[in-house]
This record gives sequence, C-alpha cells and structure tokens, in this order.
Amino acid sequence: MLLYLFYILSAITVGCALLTIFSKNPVYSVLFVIATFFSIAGHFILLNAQFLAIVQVIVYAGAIMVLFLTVLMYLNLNKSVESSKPLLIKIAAMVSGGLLFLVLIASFKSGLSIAPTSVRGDAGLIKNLGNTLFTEYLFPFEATAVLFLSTMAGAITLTRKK
Amino acid sequence: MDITTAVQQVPLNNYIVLSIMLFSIGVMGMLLRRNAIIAFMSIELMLNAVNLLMVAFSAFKGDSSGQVFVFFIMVVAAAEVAIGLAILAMVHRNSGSVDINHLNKLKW
Amino acid sequence: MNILILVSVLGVISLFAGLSESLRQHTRTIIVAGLIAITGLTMFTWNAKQFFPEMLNFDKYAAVFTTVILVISTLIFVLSKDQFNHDEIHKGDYYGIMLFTVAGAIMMVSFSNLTMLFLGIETLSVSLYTLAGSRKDLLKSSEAAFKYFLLGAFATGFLLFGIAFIYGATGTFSVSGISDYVHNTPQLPAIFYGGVILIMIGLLFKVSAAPFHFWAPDVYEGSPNIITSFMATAVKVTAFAAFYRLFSGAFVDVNEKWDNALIIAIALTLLIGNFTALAQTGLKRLLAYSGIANAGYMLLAVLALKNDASNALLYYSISYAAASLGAFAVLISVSDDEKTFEISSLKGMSKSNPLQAVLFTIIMLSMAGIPPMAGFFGKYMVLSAAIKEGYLAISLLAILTSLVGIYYYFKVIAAVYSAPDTEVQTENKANIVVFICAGISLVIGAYPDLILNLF
Repeated sequence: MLLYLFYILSAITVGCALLTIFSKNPVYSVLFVIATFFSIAGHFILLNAQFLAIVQVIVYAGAIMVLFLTVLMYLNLNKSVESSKPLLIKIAAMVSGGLLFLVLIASFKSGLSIAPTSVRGDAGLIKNLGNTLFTEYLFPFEATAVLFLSTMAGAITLTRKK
Repeated sequence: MDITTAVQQVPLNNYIVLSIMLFSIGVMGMLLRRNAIIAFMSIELMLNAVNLLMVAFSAFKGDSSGQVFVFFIMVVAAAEVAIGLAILAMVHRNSGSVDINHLNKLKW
Repeated sequence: MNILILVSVLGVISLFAGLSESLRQHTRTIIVAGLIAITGLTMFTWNAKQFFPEMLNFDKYAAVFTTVILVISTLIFVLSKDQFNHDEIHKGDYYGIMLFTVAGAIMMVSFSNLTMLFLGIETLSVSLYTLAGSRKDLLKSSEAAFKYFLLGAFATGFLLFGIAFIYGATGTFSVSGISDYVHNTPQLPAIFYGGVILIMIGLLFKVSAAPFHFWAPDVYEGSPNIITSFMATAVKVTAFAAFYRLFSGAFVDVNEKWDNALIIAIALTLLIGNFTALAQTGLKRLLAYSGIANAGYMLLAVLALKNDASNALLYYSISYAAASLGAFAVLISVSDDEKTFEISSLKGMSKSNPLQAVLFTIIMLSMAGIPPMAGFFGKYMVLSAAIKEGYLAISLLAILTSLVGIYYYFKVIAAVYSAPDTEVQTENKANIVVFICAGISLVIGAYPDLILNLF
C-alpha cells in the first residue's frame, strides 16, 4: 500500500521538478517548484518525519517561494524574455545532467543494499528531534545566529538605495 | 502495524534513486536555463534532494541527528535565498535584466 | 570558542558603531585594536577549557590557522582605509560583515563535526556574497556578487549531497566518528566513496581549483579591490585549512581511493592556472590566475596528508598569503575599483616610488619562488612532502609549471623597472601593509623554523 503511495508521490515529485526547469514562464516554474516541495513533504510523512514535513511546507513552500514570487512580481519578470541558448549547449546540458544521474546510480549499484539498522521508527518526532537539537546540536543552533545577523545586514545594505 | 515496519515498507534504495534523480534534474536546470530565477530554483531542487536523502537515511537508521542536519539546511537555504534575491534585485537595478547572457561585462 | 564569540561580538559592535556619524570615523581603529587583542588571546589561550569539543575542537592546528587568519584580517582592515568611502552610511555594516566572515572562517578551521563545517562555509560564503557586491553603483561588482552567489550555492549542493551519503554510510556527522567507522569496517559501502568524491567536488569549487575554477577570475575582477584581497588571502587559506582538516581527520585511511581524482584536479589546476596567467594583461586578473595556480601547489599538501603535511601547508599558506596580500596592497595604492588596471600602467614605478618598487619586487620574487624568499621554501616543502609519498609525476609537473610562473611574475617586475610611456602620477608613499608583507616574505624565508616550530 505504502509502496504505491510512494510511487505516486515520486511521479509527482519528478514530474513537477522537470516541469520547473522546462517551463518558459518563471511564474509557472515557481508554482511547479511549490508542488515539488509539497510532494517532498509527503515523502517526509511517509518516513514518519512529521516535524520536518510541517517545516518543509512552512519554510520552503510558505516563506522561500513567496519570496521568489514577490521578487518576480516586484521586478516584473513574469514575461518570458529569455535569450535562448544555442541548441548544442542545451543538448550538452541535458547530456551532462543525464550522465551525472547514470554515473551516480551506477557507482552506488553495488552498495545500494545497505542493511536497515532501525532500532526505532520515531526519530522524526518532535520530542526526539528537540532532544537532539538542544543537547548535542546546541552549539550549531547558536552559531546560526552569526549567519542570520550577517544575512540580515547584507540584504538590507545591498537593497537600500543611496 | 508498528511505525518502524511501516516506514520500511518502502525500500531505502527507492529513496536513494529518487533523490539522485531530483539532484540531477537540479543540476540540469542550472546548466540549461539562462534565467537567473530558474537557475536559482534549480539549486533549491538540489538542496531538497539532499534533504530527502538525509531524512530517508535518518529514518532508516533511527537516528535523529540526520533530521537535525536537514533543519540546518533549511535554515541556511532561507538565509541564502534572502541574500540571493537581494543580489538579484541589485543586478536588475543596475542592468535591467536577470538573464545570465546579458551579464557579459564579465566573461563567463 | 572564546575567540569565535569575541570576533562575532566585535562584528556586532561594528554594526552599531556604524549608526552614529562620530563613531563611524573610528570604527576601523576600534576593530584593528580589537583584532590585535584577539590575536594575542588566541596565541596564549588555545589550550583553555573547551566547551563543545564534539562540535568545535580548538586544537593546535585550529589555533595556528586561526592566528594566521586573524593576522591577515587585521592587515586587511589596516589596508581598508578609505576603501568604503563610496558608501559612507554603510561603512559599519561592511566592516561588521567582514568580521562575520572571519567568524565563519574560524568555524571552518576548528570544526570537529560536519555540521560546523557546513555552517562555517555558509557563514563565510553568505557574507562574502554581500561583500563582493558592495560597490552597488558598479555593474561589474553586482555581477561578480551574482556569479559568486550562484556558483557558490551550486557547490554547496554538491558538498551537502556528499555529506548526506557519508551520513548514510556511517550514521554520524562527527569527524572522529567517521574515522572510527573507516577503521572498523572491512568492506566500505560504495555510497561512502561516492560521498567522499562529492564532498571533494564541493570543496574544489570553494578553493577554485580546476576544473571548477571558472568563476574565480570573474569574481576577483569584479569585486572591489579590498574584498578581492580578502578572498585571495584569508578565505583561500581558510578553505585549504578546512579541506586538509576534513580529509586528514576523516578520510586519510581511504586515500588510495580518492588520490587519483585529486591528482587530475591538481594537474589541471597547475596547467590552466599558469598558462592562462601568461596571457593576462590586467594585474588583478593575473593575480587571480596566479591564485588558481597556487591552489594547485597547496592541493599537493592535501594530497600528501598521509605523512602529516600540515607543516608544509601552513608554511605555504603564510608565504602565499603574505605575497598575495602585498601585491594587492600595491594594487590598491595605485588603482581604484572602477577601471581595470593594466600591468603596463606599472611602468615608471621605480622612478616615482622607488621604495614601493623594491618591496613589490621582493613580493613578486617570493610569488615566483626564487630563493631566499619564503615562496621558494613553501614550494620546496609541499613538493618534498608529495615526493616522499611517492607522487612523482605530479610533483614533476608542479616544478615545470612553476617555471612558467616565473615568466609572468618577471613580466610584472620588468614593467615596474621600465621607463614610463607617459608621466605617471602615483602617490609617493609605500603602504605599511606592503612593508609588512615584504618583511614577512623575507624573514620567514631566512628563518623557516619560525613557522615550522609552531607545530
């Protein structure tokens, strides 16, 4: 049962991801990427990572993509004015993307069957996640403050007009 | 049916293949498109492939540190998007375009 | 740990000092004084109590490289006088962001968990994207920021994908945990090796090694001079220190699996860096390509890490950073951000500014690797480390390409001493930073033990 659900979700994920990179209009791309993120949140639920599934929807689909849409509208980029690349480069890009896929799959073929060592399936529950985050990973959690401060100062400095 | 066996109904290999697929699509989009916003979204796809892979490993190992790492990736992705879109707005203000081909003051 | 907090606090102070007009004039002085104090503290307290040793391990390696990074940053702050005058209101912000970059760098050289490596790289990169675009009025600066951002984020994707596979194989993010796993597992899964190679690709991007170097010349060219000097010295040293720390800490036992990939990257880096530099006419672009070529030599130290090449890496980093910073200090004193500075514009410097010409010559000789300058001993040490490990072919290639390097560095020296085409107007004062850098190149060349005894 779950396996079928996985295949359906995977088909949506891959299909929407492909549509994202092949859409002419950037606004459609944004919408397809949101669909991709939602289906990945579905995968997270299948993996019993409930907290991350919610965060995925709130942060990625909610915050990040809204930011994208805002910039698209603000800069008025919703028309597809994109100089098209030479066909040769397009083919080269497709081939290299495909090759990357094949190489990664082929190199992992022998090692794909690592034995699942699951002792508990509740790693993704908020309680366990919070325990790990605020004990073992407390320092990185604090260190992100520097990153955010720098980002904030940078974004304001760059976008402010003279 | 307890939760551990439920999670393991889908083999781990499927998740690995799916995330490699998603990652390759992201790389392809980055190489294929000249529109900066779409190239940017391709990078987000790559990061999501990483997230999916890490959550899958974490769930199959029963170890929450992988999911904590995903949390950090999301945090950093949000920061990166903020700064990236600020730069994009600045480029647009200076040159009137976000097409990578028009940015040829510097040779690619 | 304390050092990291102090640097971040200094950054916050700088952000606030930028708010008031009267304080803004003194921000740079405060920062330089603060950084000197922090550098002193680093040297004397590295052995103090550690708070999160499983995240940041402030061992001797970390302390030494932190000191190097802090000294370079102090010199860059000294050099940055008048460099942000185009945007007076945001002066404090730029200084603060530069200090946050240093904080990221400290995380990168002292991490003992991949989480901290990732956060360090991101703190450093995100701050640098802003700084690269800090000349908001110049299109080339915005473009440099944009290109740096897009390719930096792309590289981060590869790095993270690699980390995910390593986690899948080992079940841990801790460097010592990974190393234990490698020791105790007879048959490593394929995803482990795949992860190592993907991490390597990500890091090669960050250190601008070929074939992932193509962003570097453009970004160096377009960024403001002071930021380029920061990227070429402090950031480069940091990236190599992190690269070495990760690979010697976690992947040293499987080095026969990744050394071939690294050898190919080194060969390409040496060839592309040196031969493309030959064709350059702009001084900044020449320095960018010479930075790529130097990345090749520093990667030799990473290649030879089985027999502890950290000494060689440290010595090379210091000699390269001193020479490169000196060259950028000269560039800053003779040109501004707006137009490209051609090598031929250096003509007549020996007449108009004889002291600076002599110092610049010392710096260029050190870069070219002429004894008794530091650059020579640096190359000698990384090469002997690589030869000791049996990497003969790549060492030979490194020696041959360094001969090519001598040619283009002498082209610059020749320009300094030739007669000017027109009357050139340069400020008739040698910068203190040029003086210090030339001094370092000479002193550690004469007494290499000063550095080598640190470990």
